[in-house]
Amino acid sequence: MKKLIAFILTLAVVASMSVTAFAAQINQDSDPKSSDTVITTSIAPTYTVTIPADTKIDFNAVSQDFGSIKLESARLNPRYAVKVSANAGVLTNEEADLQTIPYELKTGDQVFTSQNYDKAGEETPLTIEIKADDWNKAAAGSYKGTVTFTIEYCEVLG
Amino acid sequence: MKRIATALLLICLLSFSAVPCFAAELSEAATSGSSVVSTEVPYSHPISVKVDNASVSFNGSSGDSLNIPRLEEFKLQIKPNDGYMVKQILLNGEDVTENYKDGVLTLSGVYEASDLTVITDKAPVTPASETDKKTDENKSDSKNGTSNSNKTGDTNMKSPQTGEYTNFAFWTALMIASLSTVFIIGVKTKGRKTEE
Repeated sequence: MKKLIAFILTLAVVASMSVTAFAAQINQDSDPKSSDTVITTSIAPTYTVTIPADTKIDFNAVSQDFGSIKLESARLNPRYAVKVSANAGVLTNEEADLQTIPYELKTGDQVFTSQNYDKAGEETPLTIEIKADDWNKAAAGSYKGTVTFTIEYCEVLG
Repeated sequence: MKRIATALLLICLLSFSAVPCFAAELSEAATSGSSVVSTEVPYSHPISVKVDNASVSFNGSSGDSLNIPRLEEFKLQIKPNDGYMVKQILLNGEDVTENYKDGVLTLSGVYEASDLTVITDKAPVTPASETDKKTDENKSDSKNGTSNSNKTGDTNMKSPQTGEYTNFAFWTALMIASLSTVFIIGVKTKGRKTEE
């Protein structure tokens, strides 16, 4: 019985061990006298993205600079990019939740939703736009809203 | 002896074994950040008042600039000076004169700094007020040592109206009838005296 257990344990040890690879030896008897050595390495992707800072919008401003999204530094895999998406909503009156001011996040004339960046230095300037009619209807008070930026490292298809 | 040999054999096996090392998995999980956007909507707005020959006040305060509550109805008291009347009222160039009644301008929905312009005109002169005006002028003249009697060439002066000019025909007919009666009575009286 002991022998059987010792045998099973020995098999388990052998199964779990790895085979050590030794450098290929080439000598005068080797044919051919060359051998390939495959060198592999892996560099982890790194990137730094800056997003706009907190901003206070001037009263009655229909368009105001909101800073920019910028890929400050990047070491990405080929066919990969950093995707930054943003969701804008409404500014909510801090005293009355039902009172809101809708706004849009824009880059140029286009509404900004998301953008892929694959080179360091790429930048997207943003503006916040509030329609004059929405200003005119807004009740008095302090309003606040949050723009959430989601950053993903993703493979670029195609 | 066998045990020792087995232990040594196992140790030899272990020395040849390598510990597997796996590469770290690249996490592609999304991260997020946020920015706070805020603004302040004022509770009141200044209204710049441009007015001549009148005064504009709100809740007892007056001046060239009045603070008006945002998006609320409010009433401005507009009091023209003596001898003047409000002709037109403009709010940011828009005519709001129709909202002016009995010295009060009622407006609502102001959502920004605004300009209020009140245009006045001389009030039409009524006869009573003209008489009062002349009385005032006479008073001021007497204070200055002059009087109307000394004035000459004042074509605007009118003599006080006297007499009764109504029913002229009636009074004429009555006079004729009276004279006729007197004449008849006189003739009759003279006839009686002659007969006696």
